Amino acid sequence: MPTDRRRVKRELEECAKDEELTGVSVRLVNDGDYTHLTGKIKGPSGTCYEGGIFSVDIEIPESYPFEPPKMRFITKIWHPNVSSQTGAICLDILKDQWSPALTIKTALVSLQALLSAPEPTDPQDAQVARQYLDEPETFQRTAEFWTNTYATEATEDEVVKRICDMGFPEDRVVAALRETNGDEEAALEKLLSEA
Amino acid sequence: MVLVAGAADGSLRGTLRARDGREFLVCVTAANRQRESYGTGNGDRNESKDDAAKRQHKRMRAARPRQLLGDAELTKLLRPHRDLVDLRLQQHDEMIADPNDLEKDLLEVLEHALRDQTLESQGQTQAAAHNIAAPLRFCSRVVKEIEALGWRHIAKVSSDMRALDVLVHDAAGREHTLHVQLPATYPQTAASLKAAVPEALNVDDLAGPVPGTAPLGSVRRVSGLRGLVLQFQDRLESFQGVWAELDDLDAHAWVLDPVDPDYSILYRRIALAKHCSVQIRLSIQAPRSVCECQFMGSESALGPFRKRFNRNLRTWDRAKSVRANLLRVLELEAFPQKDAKELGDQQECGVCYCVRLPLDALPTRANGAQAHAVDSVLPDCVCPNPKCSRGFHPVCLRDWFQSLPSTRHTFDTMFGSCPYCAGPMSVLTA
Repeated sequence: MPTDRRRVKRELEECAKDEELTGVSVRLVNDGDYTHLTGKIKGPSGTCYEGGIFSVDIEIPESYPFEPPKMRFITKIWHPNVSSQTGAICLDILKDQWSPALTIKTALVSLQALLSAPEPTDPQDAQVARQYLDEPETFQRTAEFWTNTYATEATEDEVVKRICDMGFPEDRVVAALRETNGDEEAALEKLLSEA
Repeated sequence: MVLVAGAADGSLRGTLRARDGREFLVCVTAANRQRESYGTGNGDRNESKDDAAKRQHKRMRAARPRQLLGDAELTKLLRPHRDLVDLRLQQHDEMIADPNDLEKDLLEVLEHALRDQTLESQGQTQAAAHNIAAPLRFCSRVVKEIEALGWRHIAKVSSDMRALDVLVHDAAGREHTLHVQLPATYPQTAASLKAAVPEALNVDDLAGPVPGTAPLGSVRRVSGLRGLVLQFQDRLESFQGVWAELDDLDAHAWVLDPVDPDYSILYRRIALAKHCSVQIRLSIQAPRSVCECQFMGSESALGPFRKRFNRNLRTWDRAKSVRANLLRVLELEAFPQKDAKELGDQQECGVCYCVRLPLDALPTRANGAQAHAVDSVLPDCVCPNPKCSRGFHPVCLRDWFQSLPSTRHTFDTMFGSCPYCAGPMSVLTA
């Protein structure tokens, strides 16, 4: 719908202005398609998500801004209010507390705040929430491990080195990574199936 | 249809298929050849190629008019258009054109004939009689009239010369486009005129003999397009006063609506403060008299303006311009200019982020709410909380209220809360 596309466009411009300050950024998935975006959230410092960059899949419904944007974590994250399997998020403003006064940026900033202040009493992932309440230390360690494993964007060299260390020849690792667009796991799978 | 060079005498035979599916048998042949072939009978068919070439050559040189033969229905249909058919055949004979072209031309004539037949059956015989022969006469007449006017005044001419755009300048140098629509029966029937002027144009066509109309002034003696333009110019004079006032406002104030005014629009909506504007409408007869004023925006911001307006209205001075009067009545130094700081950066609607509601979004909005014709395209629905005073398009706010279960609906008003400050807000539904 033309109006809403205009609004999304405006929001993207606004968001780009203070990316550094807020630590959230939004990009179009496909050029010219304002219904599908990807957001990136910097893990808040002082939490077990520090140092991680979390990708969020954003779908703009046709009736936006009367309906909230549909958001889902693409990056795997260990958090009581986010499904560790699907990335589904439990946040009131993405559901019934949405208002047109909110924007994609404010929603992402709210997600960032949710990372620093989990809400275990209203969980999305019961298992994670139980661990958060019963064994805070284990939770801390798991969340940090998940952050380091899934949410750090390793440079290409590091990835190549890591796979080479597993005993694959370097040229094949580079080729596999190129074919899978740098997806480490997919490349590894490919190498294993080839072997 | 397919016209095939059938016989050795150079005739073309085939069927003509009209658009309505009717088919007619036709034979196109050179008139004198026809007679000859009757005379020589079968002998023609056996002639050598050499003879045929000679014959062809002779025919070319002779350039005799061809003749169209057809079945009884076709003959009857084309009888009124015989001149045109002969003309077409002759043209083709002279150019030795492609049979396909001839076919196209013949089809065109046939379509005309068929149309005439339909018109006749509807009892419009008179109009039909002109149809075929008219275009040429019509076009040459129009060209002559344009020449009298001067081609430099013509902005656009349609391919059939029935629609013209004429550029006309008024006394103050404003450029106007006069759209002239000429009927097929011009100049017997008057041309219809359209232009962006505040009142409907009913300039009589002066080109033709229009019985029963008395001449009004000296302009009337000039006929044709030039006469029309002169009369139009005359007419423009009556709007000079009101246009001068509007131009003055356009130049010195931020006009929110209309965005791109043409000369027919006599209202202006002028920004006064954040979410606060006044809409004025001028009259053609007395442009400088006290104008119709309507204040729009949040009550808190409007209050002072309204008070001043009521207090000072008596001092309105007809000798001064509307802008000067408005400024004095509203006790302003000047109108705020576009993007001025005091207006804030929140002129746009808090829901769709547009200042002007896009017209393409009007008919059906997200929640299927129908926009009302009276709805403003500007964010006029302002939150009454003076600390918030966020503006929304009535359509946008209504759509949002409709999606909330907590909205109350009483008569034609919806009560909900502001999407920004959550304070109470209402919007009319009708």
